[in-house]
Order: sequence, then structure tokens, then C-alpha cells
Amino acid sequence: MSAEKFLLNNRKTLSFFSLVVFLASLIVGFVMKPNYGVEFAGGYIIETSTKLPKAATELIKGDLADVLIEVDKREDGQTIKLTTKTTQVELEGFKSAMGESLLSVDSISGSYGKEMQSNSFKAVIAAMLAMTLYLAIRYNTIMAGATMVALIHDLVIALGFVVFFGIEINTMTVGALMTIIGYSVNDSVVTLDKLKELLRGKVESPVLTAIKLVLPRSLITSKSTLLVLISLLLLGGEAVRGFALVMTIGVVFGTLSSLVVVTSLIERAAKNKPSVFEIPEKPSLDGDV
Amino acid sequence: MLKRISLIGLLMIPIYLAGSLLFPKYLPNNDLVAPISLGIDLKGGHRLILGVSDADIERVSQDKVIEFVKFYNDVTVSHKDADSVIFNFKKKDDAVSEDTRTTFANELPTLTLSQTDNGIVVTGLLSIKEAELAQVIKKNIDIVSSRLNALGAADISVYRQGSNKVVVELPSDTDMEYTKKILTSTSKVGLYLESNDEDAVEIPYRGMTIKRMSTPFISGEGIEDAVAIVDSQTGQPSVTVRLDSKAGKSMSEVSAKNVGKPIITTIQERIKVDGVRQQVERIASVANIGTVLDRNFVVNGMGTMEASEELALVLQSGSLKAPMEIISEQTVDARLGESNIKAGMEAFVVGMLLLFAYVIYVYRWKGVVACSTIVINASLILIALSSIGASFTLTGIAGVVLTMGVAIDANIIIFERAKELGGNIKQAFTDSFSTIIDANVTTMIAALILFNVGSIPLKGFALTLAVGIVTTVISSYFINKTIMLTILKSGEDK
Repeated sequence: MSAEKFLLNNRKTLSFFSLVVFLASLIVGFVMKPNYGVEFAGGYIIETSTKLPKAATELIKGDLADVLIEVDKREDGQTIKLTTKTTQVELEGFKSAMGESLLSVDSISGSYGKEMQSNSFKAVIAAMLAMTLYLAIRYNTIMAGATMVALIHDLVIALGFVVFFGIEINTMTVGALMTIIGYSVNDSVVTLDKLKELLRGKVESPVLTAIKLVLPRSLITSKSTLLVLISLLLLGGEAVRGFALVMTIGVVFGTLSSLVVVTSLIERAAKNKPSVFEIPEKPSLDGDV
Repeated sequence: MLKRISLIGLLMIPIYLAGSLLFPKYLPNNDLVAPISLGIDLKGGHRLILGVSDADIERVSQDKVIEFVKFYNDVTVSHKDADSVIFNFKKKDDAVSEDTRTTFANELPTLTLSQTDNGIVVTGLLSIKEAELAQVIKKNIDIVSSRLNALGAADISVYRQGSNKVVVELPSDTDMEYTKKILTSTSKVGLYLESNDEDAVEIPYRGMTIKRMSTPFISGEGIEDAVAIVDSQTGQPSVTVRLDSKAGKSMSEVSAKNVGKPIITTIQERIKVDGVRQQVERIASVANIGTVLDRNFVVNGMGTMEASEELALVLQSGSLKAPMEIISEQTVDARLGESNIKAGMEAFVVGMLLLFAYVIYVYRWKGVVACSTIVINASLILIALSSIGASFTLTGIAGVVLTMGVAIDANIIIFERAKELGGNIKQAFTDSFSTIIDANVTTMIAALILFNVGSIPLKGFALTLAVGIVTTVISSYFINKTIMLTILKSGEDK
């Protein structure tokens, strides 16, 4: 498969490319303002079905103009977002002006939104630390470290993408990031496992061989997952679209990072410290020593 | 041959059950498996998140200390803050009663009680804050549940989130305005005697100022039942209250000792006045004690029948231990939920079909087996979720997508391994085992942590993921292995 050849021969270029995208994402993250959905910033999300009655549109242009964040028009409805400064009276007035076309109203207080932010952040960090610990025990610390670096790389790129394109950061986005973490780690573990197996057999240039052997599987898996994601993206409807988009980026870079980033890091470490290739002999699950 | 048929038969069971969950009309299952419950973002409904403020928890701790100290000592409260309460003796040269010290040693060992020249100082309240918070939330959940039951709401969920929040989920047709009012109502009834102590509370009433004792002799605690009525004597809306036996005794004792003196009945509430939450108290009635009173009494001065009914409901369920504010409200119209599901499901099915087509293209007959294990996997997830009684949320769908990705990955690992080994499928399974376990355990760790630490939407994701990992290992490895080996053994190629 030409894709395989391409990946194998251009590892250096790909690592470089990946590094560039990573740095770009970091810069984007610091320079651009993330589009926090109401769930994280607080405020009101009002969903309506297609056309707003005249009274409601007037309010948006008039009284509500200074608390309006945005109006998102789609073919099957509109989403109106208001800041936390909207008063109850204004809100009730708007709701009654909408009448029949009102589908739902979500209200989140600013402080709760902030709490959700830090809560989600802590959850992700905690999960990552726990996984690193497990991998450090099963393999060794360098390999676990490499996996985490690759994971951070994937997340930063995904977030950079989100911020750059102004994709709204809400629960589904966080779900997508969680899924990327799961996927990336899964990928990395498969690569590491192959490496571990080759090291036991004292193979020459184990890292390269590991990549060669894992590549077919990684490519087929990625293609399969992308098929599902593209379908979700095109047919899934509003709610899952953002999710599918972020996931797609995550899968592409996740696969790339497992093959290129993790392995490059391990190779580099091995040049200085051959002990990197030593995996402590612990009773393994496959029954052999 | 028989083995193959019985195997296929066995595998059809989970698929059928899952099908019956999705299409209950066409595939009946006689309630073998409970139907899937959907989270409100998929089914529609209301989700309220109620929170308790820090200041209120402080107050709860302080009130507890005050109650204990005042029970044994004749004191007034001169100062209270986050960590301490200071009392002054009413009579000069009084001393701390021994009973107080014993009670504190037993019930509140982490607090320090000391006697000063003219009073008592209690410090260390911060140490009991966590425990008090947990108790408050627990009691509030009970009270909220009982209020919702009284309102006749069915199909509701009330549960704790984090350390200081309560989540309430209600069906779409709930009268939200009224329900919110009832849920957060802090109406408290208190019966007090008049007092001229330092810490007496002054309340204006009909042009006069009434001074009441700082603590009531009857409060919400002792109320057993409350009913809104029209008072036969005055023709006004009122609430009759029946006290429990302990409070009833207290009522008799106090009224016997104070015949001729007034009882002041007040209703307290914490409401927002111009955006600021304040404790507001009004006097419902002031009545002189004629005879010794018993367990029943009437609260007058309600104004409207509506107010009487609300107060009766709130009194019945008990007063909230600490006031709760609505910090978040989500309403999902059932229509919106339905369209979310429909679009998501369709896209997902199409995606999976494409995936199947691709896998079968690459792996031929092995691909067909792989795809069947995926279908079984999905069925098992559905059945497991409905058995646990877990709700399926929008983020749950994300969890399913990841699970399917990991599941197909497991299959691919095995097949590629078989290629490496020149076609020895049995060995491929054995070799791939540790890889698959490692990858899944790592993901499982993440799922467990997310479930414990995360907010509601993350919990939905984590649960689906955790269930999915278990079903994946079962279907993509064990069931897969069984099918493959059975097919190979019988020497037939599919």
C-alpha cells in the first residue's frame, strides 16, 4: 500500500510537520479567544423552530441587543444565545414573544459554568495521570512518557483546531476530546505492545520494525473509524456535527502521533539511554516470561 | 453441524433482545429486559441543578452549636463567624454546665468549648463543615423528593452531584414555575414567646414592634402534618398543623407555664429582594395563651388559599436544612430530543454499514465474522445499559462511537496477527490477547476516573464507555474466538 510506504519513508518530515501543527495550535490557543458555549460561560441558550415571530425579532434588535451573544440560523431552527446579564423580566418577555416556536431554554449561572470548566479540566488531567501510571508499570517510564506526550500533542492540535475555526466548546466537544484521548491511547498501546514483543526477541532496529508491522492495522482501523465519523458529520444533524469534526481531526493526528511521535521519542531516548529498551520482566498476561 | 447451529442460535439472543428494545412493536420480549431510559437531552424534560451556598452551611454549623449550648445553659449569642460562636451568660457568675461538656465531647469532639469571664466560647466549626454539608444535602434530597411526590410528579430523579449540589430531573409536562417555587421554598414556621433578652428579635406588626425570643419553642422539626383549610371561625385561609408527640409535649409544657402571655407565630423565608437574598420574616399572628395547648394549632394570616396550600405542602415535607438556589436549568423539548436521536442514529447506522462494507472488502469471510461480533457487541451494550437502569445521553453516543472503533480495532489486530503468522488464527488470538487487554484496561481506567470526577454529561460518556469496554472484550475476543474456531473446526468456509 502506497500509504504505508509514504509513512515509513517520510517519518522525519512527518514528525516535523506534526511539530509545526502542534506549535501552531499552541499559538492559536493563546492568541485567539475560545468560543465557550453557554454551558461553560454561563448564560441562556434558546432553541426555536424556524421562523421567529415578529415580536421576538424586534426584541432581539432592540431591548436584548446588549445581552445578545449570537443568533445561529439553521434550516431547521435558530439558536439564540444571551449572556448571564439578561434579567428575568427580559427573558420572560422574550419567551412569551416567541410563543409556539419556542423549543427549549437552557440557563446556566456564570459560576456554575466556570465550575464545569475546571471540573472537566481536572477530570481529563486525572484520567491522563492514571493512564500514565498504568503504562509505566506495564512497560517502562520512558514509553509511558512518550505516550502521554503524544496524547498531549493530539489534544493540543484538536483544541487548536477548535479555537481556530471558532467551533463552540460545549459538552459534545468535551466528549469528542475524551474520545480522542481514548482512541490515541489505544493506538499508542498497540504500537508499544508490538515494540515490547520485538524487543524480547532482540530484533535489530526494533522501532522501525514495530512501525512496519503495526502500520497495516492502524491504517485499516483509522479508515474504518473515519467512515463512521464522516457519516456522522454529513448526516448526523446539528448536535453531533461539532463532535464529528473534532473527532476526525483527532483520529487523523492520533494515528499519526502513535506512529511518528511516540516512536521518534522512544528512538531518541534510546540513543542516549539504551535502558529504554528494557522492559522490566513482570509476569505478563500472555503467560510467557 | 449441531454445534454450529446452536452457536448461531445462542448468539441471536442478545441481538433479538437488543432489537426488542429498539423496536418494541415488532419484537416483543415480555419485559425480559427493561426499556432503555434516555437522558433528558434525548428524551426531553427538565433538569434543575440546585446548589447550597457556603454561607448557609456556615449557618447550619452555627445553629447546631447554638442549639446544643442553649439547651443546657442560659445564654445569649453575642457573636458568630465561620469558625466560632461566642455566648454571654444571662446571669452573672454563671458557669458552663457539665452536661454541655459531655455532650460536646460525645457529639462534637472536634470543637473546643471554653469558659470565659462572662460566657462561653466555642471554636473549630470549620472542622465539621464537610460533614454538615453532606448531612444537609442528604436531608434536602429527602425533602425535595417528598415535595415532588406531594406535587404528584411521576418519573422524577433527584440525586447529589459533587459536594454541594442536587440535581432534579422532571418530565416535560411539569409546571416548572410552580415546581421551582416549591422546590426552593424556605418557608419556616416558628412559634416563639415574647422576650426582652439582648438577643431578642424585633419584628414590626400592625404598627407595634414585637420582640420574640431568638429561638422558637416549636419549629418545623416537630410538624407531623399540615393542611390548608378555611378557618371556620374567621372564614380566612389558614393552615392547621399537627405536631408530633415530642413537640406536642413541648407545646403543652410551654403553654402551661405561660398562660396569659402571647405566642408569636412567624413565617420566615429567604427570598430575593432586588436581586439580593434576604431573610424575611413576618408575623402571622400574636395570640394570648388561654388554656394549655395540645398538638394541634392553626396558623392564621395567610392571606390567600394559594399561600395556605403552598405553606402546607412545604411544612409537610419539612424545611430545607439549608436554602437551595437554582443555579442551572435545562429544558429540552421532546421534539428536539427526538430529532437529535433520529439524525444521530441514522448517521451512525450508515457509518457502521460503510465500516462493515470496508472490513468485509479487506478481510472477506473473516470480516463477516468481525461484523457480527460488532452487532453482538452493540446489542450487549444496549441490554447492559437497560439492566443497570442507566440513562443513555447525547455524550453516551460518543462513548458508543469510541467503543465501536476500539472493537473493530481488536478484530483487526487479531486478523493482522494471523497474517503475520501465515494464517494460524488460533495462535493469533492467543498472541493478541495481551495487546487487547492492555489497550482496554487503559481506556477503562480513563472511563472510571471520568465517571467519578466528571459532571453529568461526562458521566454519561464514561458509563457507556466502561460498559462498552467490557462488551468489546467479550464479543471481539471471546465470542469472536469461539465463532472462528467453530467455523474452522467444522472445516467449512463461509
